[in-house]
Amino acid sequence: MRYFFFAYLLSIVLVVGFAGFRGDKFTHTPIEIFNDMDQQAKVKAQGSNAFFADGVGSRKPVTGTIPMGLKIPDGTAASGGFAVYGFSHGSDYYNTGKIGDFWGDGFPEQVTVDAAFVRLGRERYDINCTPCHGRAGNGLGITSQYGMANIANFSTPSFLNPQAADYRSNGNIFDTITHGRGQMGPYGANIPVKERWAIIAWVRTMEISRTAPLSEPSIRDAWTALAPPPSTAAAAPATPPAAAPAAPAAAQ
Amino acid sequence: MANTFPRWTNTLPLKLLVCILFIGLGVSAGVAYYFTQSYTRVGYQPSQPIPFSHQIHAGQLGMDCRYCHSFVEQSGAANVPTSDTCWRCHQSVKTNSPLLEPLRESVATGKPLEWVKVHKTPDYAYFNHSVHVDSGISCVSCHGKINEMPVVFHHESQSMGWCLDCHRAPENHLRPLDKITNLDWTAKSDGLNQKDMGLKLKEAWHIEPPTNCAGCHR
Repeated sequence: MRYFFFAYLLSIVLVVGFAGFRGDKFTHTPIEIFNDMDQQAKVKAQGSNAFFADGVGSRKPVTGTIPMGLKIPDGTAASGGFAVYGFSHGSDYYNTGKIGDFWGDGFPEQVTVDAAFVRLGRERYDINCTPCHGRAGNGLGITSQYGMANIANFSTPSFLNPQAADYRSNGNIFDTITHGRGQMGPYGANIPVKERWAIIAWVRTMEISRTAPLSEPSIRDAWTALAPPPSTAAAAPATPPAAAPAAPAAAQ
Repeated sequence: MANTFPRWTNTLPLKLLVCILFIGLGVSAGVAYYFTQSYTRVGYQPSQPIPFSHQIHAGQLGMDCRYCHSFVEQSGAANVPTSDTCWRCHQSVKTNSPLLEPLRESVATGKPLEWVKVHKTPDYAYFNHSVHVDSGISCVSCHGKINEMPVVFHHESQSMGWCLDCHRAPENHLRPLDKITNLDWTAKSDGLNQKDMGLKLKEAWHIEPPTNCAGCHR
């Protein structure tokens, strides 16, 4: 009997020694104990597929074809260049930011600019734009600390002053979000058209808030209501100088 | 007349019974412990073509999950970002890092990076990310605190029983929609009780997760 228990304990030690415990980290492909139909011969999103020569399961439209519901925008490449991007949802202001051969300003009739729309814009801006442009739209996002230079600051004349030579109208900003500009990459594939316009609404909101005159009584009242309470202000000088450089980073 | 059976055989049936009992117990315990996704999947931490750190990007730099996984609110599949998405920053950031060589190659050739899938639903289960994310289920409920993982590992068992635990009592996981991608947020951190808040949200949003087979298996 004692031999049995000896062998029993030994086998437990062996099993645990080889198999380990739940939650142990491992890098090999997980074993599937009952793998009935776990892996079916079908293509799932972003999966690979050996049927195609390049092994990519998600296919691009065949060259020279246009998916149903989409079209090649009107106008020549020379007049606006939109045809160079291939098919899109349409060639109107809502989808291109252009009216004829010119950048449009203002918002297209397809969107209603209200509080909910601006809130949507803020949410989408915080997701997609803050890494570079920063929460306040000043171009001091987190990437500016890692070597990204010349990030657009939305409180500069090229955004604020419609008379400026390089003024970015709404349509121009829409095109920048969609196709990128300079070192900024294109976001058209990631941000739906409506949300791009919402982001523009939020960018304009930030600009207005940055240039709001404090002499205006209603603005001053709103500012006083938002200003930090006296207790925080009093505590600020007590902060050791060594902690000061960390503050801008925390504010990002 | 001599004894046909020696004396020690008197206890043999009892001993055999004890042995069989112990072996049965041991095998059952082993199967219960090991033949489950809590063992086979939890802790799976494959090496990726680029040692991408969620801890740096989502934790330290404070990027939103949806910057890269951009279609998670609209699509059934939470997309892995294209190389273009990485390139938006990494054309200027860490341009000399040898670890990013596969990315530079991918951008130059157009051949996608082959990331290794960590979480995998069986092909007969039709999980939809958008319906969960848009109904107030945070990433953290199914993936753990990704923002603290330098290398992502499988955190929850994601077995069918585990799915049903939440489908039967979603109030334990529901949260406000603006806190979905805030993986550090808990009801407690806002001074709320998860269960009370969850029940209110469940009622307000009419959350009735399916518990019938056809809910997930078509």
